[in-house]
Amino acid sequence: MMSEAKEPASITSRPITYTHKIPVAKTKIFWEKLKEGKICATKCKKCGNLYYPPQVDCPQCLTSEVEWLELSEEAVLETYTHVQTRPQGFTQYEPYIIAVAKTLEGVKVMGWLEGVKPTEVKVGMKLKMATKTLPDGYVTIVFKP
Amino acid sequence: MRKVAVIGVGNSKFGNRSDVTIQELAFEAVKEAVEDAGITPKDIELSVVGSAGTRTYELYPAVPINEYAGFYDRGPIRVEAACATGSAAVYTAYASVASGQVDVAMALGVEKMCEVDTATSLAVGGRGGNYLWEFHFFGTTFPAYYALHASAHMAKYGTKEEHLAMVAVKAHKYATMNPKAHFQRAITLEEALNSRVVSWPLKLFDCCPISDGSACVILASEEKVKELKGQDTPVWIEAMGFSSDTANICRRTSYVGLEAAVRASKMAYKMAKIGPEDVDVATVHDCFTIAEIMAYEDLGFCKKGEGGKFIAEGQTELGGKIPVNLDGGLKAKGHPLGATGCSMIYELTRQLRGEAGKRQAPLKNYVALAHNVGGTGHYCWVTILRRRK
Repeated sequence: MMSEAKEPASITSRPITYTHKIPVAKTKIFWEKLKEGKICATKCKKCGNLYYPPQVDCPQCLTSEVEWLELSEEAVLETYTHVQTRPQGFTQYEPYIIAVAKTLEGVKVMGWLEGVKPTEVKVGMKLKMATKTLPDGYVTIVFKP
Repeated sequence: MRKVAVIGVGNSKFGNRSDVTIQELAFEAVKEAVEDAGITPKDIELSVVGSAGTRTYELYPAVPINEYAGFYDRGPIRVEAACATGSAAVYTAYASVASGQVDVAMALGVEKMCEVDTATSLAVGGRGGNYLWEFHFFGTTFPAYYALHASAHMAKYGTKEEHLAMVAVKAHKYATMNPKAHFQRAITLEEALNSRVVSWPLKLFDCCPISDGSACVILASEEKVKELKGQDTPVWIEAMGFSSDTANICRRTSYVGLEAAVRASKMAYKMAKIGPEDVDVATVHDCFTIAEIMAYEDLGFCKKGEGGKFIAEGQTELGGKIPVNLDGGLKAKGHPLGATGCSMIYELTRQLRGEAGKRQAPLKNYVALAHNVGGTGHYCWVTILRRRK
C-alpha cells in the first residue's frame, strides 16, 4: 500500500512482534518472595558485597556462592519523577511516580511511589517498601510514605 | 600512537526525514564529508558505521548503509553505544588510524527514529537501562531517567525549572543560525516553562526531539595529511577520553551528575595537557536540559552545583566564558542517536576552521571539546580537538 497524503511517499513494512521468555531459574527466590510481598537482594558469601538488583554471581570474587537476603521495608527517597508520557506497555495505567529509595541495608531500589500527591513528594522523605499486583497480573514494587 | 586529523566533515539536515531511507540519509553526510576533504571515496580505506538501529526496519543497518555509500569491500565495522554511538564510531576510526592499521578512515553515524510512533520510540528508549529490573516493572522512559537526575539536582542545589528552561531557550536561539537543525524557531522562557509535563520536572521543551539524521567524519594520519593536497586546515584529535558506568541506575552513587563524564573528561584533559579553562567552544550532550547543566559541572566549566547559575549568567552564550552548543545542541538541532557524536565533531571542526558563520565562537587557543553521553550516563566520550594556528 502506498500512502498518498501530503507526506512523502512511503510503504508499510511487514510487522514484527517480539515477546521474550526471560530466564528466571537462577533468581527464582526473588520472584517467589516478590509474590509474598518481600524484596530480596543477594550477598556474596566471600566478600560480603550486597547486590541489588540481585545477581547470583559475584564478579569481584568470581564466585557463585551467594546468599539471599530479604530487604527491610524501610527506605529513604533519593529521587523521583512523575511520568506523564508513558511508553507502549504502560499507557493503560494512570501517570505514575518512579522513585529510587535507599534501604536500611544501603542498597537502592526502584519502585512506584504511591499514597502521596506528586506536589508533596520530598527528596529525603521516609518510605515503606512493599509489592503490589496490578490488575493485569504483573507484580511491581511500591513505596508509600 | 600516530597523530590523527579530521580532514573532512559532513552533516545531513536533521529532522523528520520521511523523504529518505537510512541509506539515502547516510549518503548525504558521506558525500559532503568526502567533498569537504577534497579526496575521492577510493582514498578511504576503512568505513566504521555507527547506528543504534533500534527504531528502523533495517535490523542490521550497517551493511546496507555501507554498500549504498560505496564501501562494500572496506568495512563496515559496526558500533553501538546508545546515544554515544557516533563517538564510538569516531573512536574506532581514530584508533585504526592512530595504530597504523590504515591511513584514512571514515566514521559514519546515522539514525532513522521517525519511522515508528512516539509510544514505540519511548518503549525502546525506556529499555536503555536494564530492561528486567527497570522497564519491565516500572515503565521507565528516557525522559524519566533524566528527570530522576533533575529532581535530585534541584533538591540538592536548588536548581530551578527556570534554569532548565534557559538551556532550551539558548538551544533554540542558536538552532535558528544552523540550517541543518531540526528546529528553526526561537522560543521564550514562558513558552518553555508552560509546555506540557513529559516526566516531571521535565517538560516538552526540556526534551530533545525525535529526529532522523546522519553525520560523517573523515580521519587521516599526519603522514597522509602531508601527502594529500589541499589540507590547509586540518583539525587534530588531541584526545579521546572514555569512561562508563552501571547499567542499573540503582547502582549509581548519586544522581546529581554523571560519573562517566567526570572520568572521561579528566582522562581527556590529561591526554591533551589542557584544562577546561583552555577550551574556546564546546558541544555537550543536552538530550535533556538538565543534562547540559550537569555537563557544565562534570566537565569543570563551573563548580559542582553551580550549573544553574552558570546558564543564568549567560556564561555559555556566544560572548560568555565558554560558548556551548552553538549548533542548537541535541535539544534543538536534534539527536539522531548514531549521528550525534559525529555531528558534534562536524560542528567543532567548522568552528575551529572559522566556518561557523553567524554562530562562530571567538577562537583564542583554537581548542574545542565534545562531550557525548550514551544511555543514562552508561558511556561517555570527551573529545578534544585543536587547530594549530
